[in-house]
Amino acid sequence: MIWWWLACARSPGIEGCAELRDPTEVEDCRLEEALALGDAEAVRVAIASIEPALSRDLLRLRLAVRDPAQARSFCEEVEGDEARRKCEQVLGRPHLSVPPEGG
Amino acid sequence: MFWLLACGGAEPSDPVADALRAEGTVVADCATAFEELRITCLVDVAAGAARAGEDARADAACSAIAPGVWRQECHFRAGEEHGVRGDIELALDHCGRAGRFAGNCVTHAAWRMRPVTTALPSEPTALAEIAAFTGRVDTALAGVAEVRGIEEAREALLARAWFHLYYGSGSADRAALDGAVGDQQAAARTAWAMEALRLDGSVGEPLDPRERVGRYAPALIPPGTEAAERVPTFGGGQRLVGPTPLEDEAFAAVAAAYFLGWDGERILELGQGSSKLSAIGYAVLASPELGAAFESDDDPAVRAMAREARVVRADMDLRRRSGDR
Repeated sequence: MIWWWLACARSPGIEGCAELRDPTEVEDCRLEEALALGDAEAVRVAIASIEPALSRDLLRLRLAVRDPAQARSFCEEVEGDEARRKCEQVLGRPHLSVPPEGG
Repeated sequence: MFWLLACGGAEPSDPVADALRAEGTVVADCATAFEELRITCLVDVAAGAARAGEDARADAACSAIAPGVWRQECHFRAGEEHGVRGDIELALDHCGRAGRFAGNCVTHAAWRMRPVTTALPSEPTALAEIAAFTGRVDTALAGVAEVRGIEEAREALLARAWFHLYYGSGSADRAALDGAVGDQQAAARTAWAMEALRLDGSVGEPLDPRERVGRYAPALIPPGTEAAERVPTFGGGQRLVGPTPLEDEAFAAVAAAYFLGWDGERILELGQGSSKLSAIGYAVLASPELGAAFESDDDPAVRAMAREARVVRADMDLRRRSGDR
């Protein structure tokens, strides 16, 4: 029973998120997995494996908004015009990337 | 996404595509399944609403964002857009709620602000218009007096008002400058010098409002000069203020020459007496190749100014290359 619970609770990885049925849950799962990866390079590699391109762009944008200091690396790889335009909302505002004083 | 499209029936909504399309003008309530995109949509809504003078909508959009960096950014965008329209009361109200971005907000609001005067510098009403705007600024600032980072708002806003009065007007008449009161005299001198240098005289062709821009002059603050008196110039920049009104005209002139895009050699020719050090700073900023000679000068103040200008210029070049705005 414990083994079964551990197996079910294990992180599905970004690729495994596609198994979920609800599209919103799929995207939220990918975000959680990306955040859990931590390392920006690993996140970028994992994003490249996502299909379709809209979902890749959505995740890049969500990560950029959550951490504007990392936005450039994610936004440089967006593929669609809509995502590119929204990325500009972060990249075009360099003060967002400046850490707060003493923080 | 095809698994949804494959289900048949009415065209299903795609939360991903919807989120990427979410714009305040299209999806008025920014309803998307993803919080991050709802936030950026709301910031867009606030900016657009402020641009249109609809503050209730701007305010509601910012309030719908959880407290933190993005709510501050929302107030920043609303503040600067109100500033563009010259609605300084609403601009300062929002800038006052922009948290650690309050100072940036005021700078943007001031330097994107449209003219608040209609008279020419030679007309008696020019000073009355400046005085009326000053009164509005003082009243609005009273409401945000406790906000950290907003201390230089008054100077920046009044500097912009003077800039508009003179620069590009086709008149460098001294009437308004000579009537400037107390702490506005230095800002008036900067604006007057810009137009006097542009016209190379006191009367000439006005500039189209869209052409009333120039080279950004960052503050040059060599070590040990932090306490020296400075006044805003353009886009958050500052210039040193001369020890007397007459000498300050030379300080204003070298700043104006830099703004107008003069090269370093020409700027140096303008810098006489006490303004010489300031001219060296602008000259190196404009023409970095001039810096080496000054950096081996006998005078430590000259060396420090040249070094500061070189460092600031290198930083500007780096930012330009990396596409920062």
